[in-house]
Amino acid sequence: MLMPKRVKYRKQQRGTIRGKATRGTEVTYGEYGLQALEPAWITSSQIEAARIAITRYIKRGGKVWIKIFPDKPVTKKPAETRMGSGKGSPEYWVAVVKPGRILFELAGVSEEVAKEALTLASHKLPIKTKIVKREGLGGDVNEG
Amino acid sequence: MAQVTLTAEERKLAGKGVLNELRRNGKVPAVIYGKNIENRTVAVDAKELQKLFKTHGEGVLIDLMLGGEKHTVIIREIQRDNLKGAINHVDFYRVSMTDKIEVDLPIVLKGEPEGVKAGGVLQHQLHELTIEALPADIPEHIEVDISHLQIGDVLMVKDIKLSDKITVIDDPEEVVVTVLAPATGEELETTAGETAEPEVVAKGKEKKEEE
Repeated sequence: MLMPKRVKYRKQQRGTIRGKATRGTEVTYGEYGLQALEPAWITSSQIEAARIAITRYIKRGGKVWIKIFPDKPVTKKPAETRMGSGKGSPEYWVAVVKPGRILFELAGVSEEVAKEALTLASHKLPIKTKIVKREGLGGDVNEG
Repeated sequence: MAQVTLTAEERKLAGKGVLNELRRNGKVPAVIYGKNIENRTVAVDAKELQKLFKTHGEGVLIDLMLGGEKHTVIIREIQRDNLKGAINHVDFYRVSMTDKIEVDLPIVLKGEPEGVKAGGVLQHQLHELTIEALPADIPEHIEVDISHLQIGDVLMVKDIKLSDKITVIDDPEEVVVTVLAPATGEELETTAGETAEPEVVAKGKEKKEEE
């Protein structure tokens, strides 16, 4: 699953997700994209599940781009531990996603296949999404 | 390049509140600039603009009617709302019909490559070509025939045939389209098999431990 190769610090503070995405909001590589409509932490396993859903559906045709990367560690204390004694150990990695961010991109498949594949992927994610087209292809044209 | 007419009205006021009010009333704030003219802030009708984009795309020569004046402009930049897709602002660049201008033209692919029929995957890498030409000589888009491409073939900028009146600014060696070999079953599942490895911790943590 996706995670950084090396990091400067093992643990991070949680932070808050404010505002909308200002970068990564356009379909740049592929023809179709899946756009986040809500803020969320997307875990590496959710990204992987969505990727597998897309690749299985499109089989050998097409190409998939993952436009987010889980670079934030989330820590967890072991079960049945008393509070205190410092922060828990890193458990999994998440990508911090703001509304408007393109999560996945897809190219080399027909519109019907792309829509279905991205819909399947959206079911693996904890947020509402919409399917968008590249601007030159007619822009933003789909439901949530 | 197709030539269409669009009406605009002068707007004197600027600022977030005023512009939002303008947008609520179905207008899009815009600006006109170019050689030998002062910047002019204007507003255009949002519906008219959307209709224009739908029928002609963004690469279009516009006769912008502003009061009694006529400005021949092209669209330099469009600011959109990332979530709603609504147009927030447009930059119009006034052109002279006798001066060459630099524009990005969309590349439209024609035909299905033979390589794709044989199971390959078409990868369209360059979607816009930067060219220089007189406004009247600029086409709406550039059509590229890709039906002859086999698996492994690459179409570069230098392979695109254009009229003599157009100069290409992009690197001639830049790849426009490739036909890739189909992905194997192994590739599809690769990252799934990887296990979680502990990351290498750099400077910060090591220093603490030394203390």
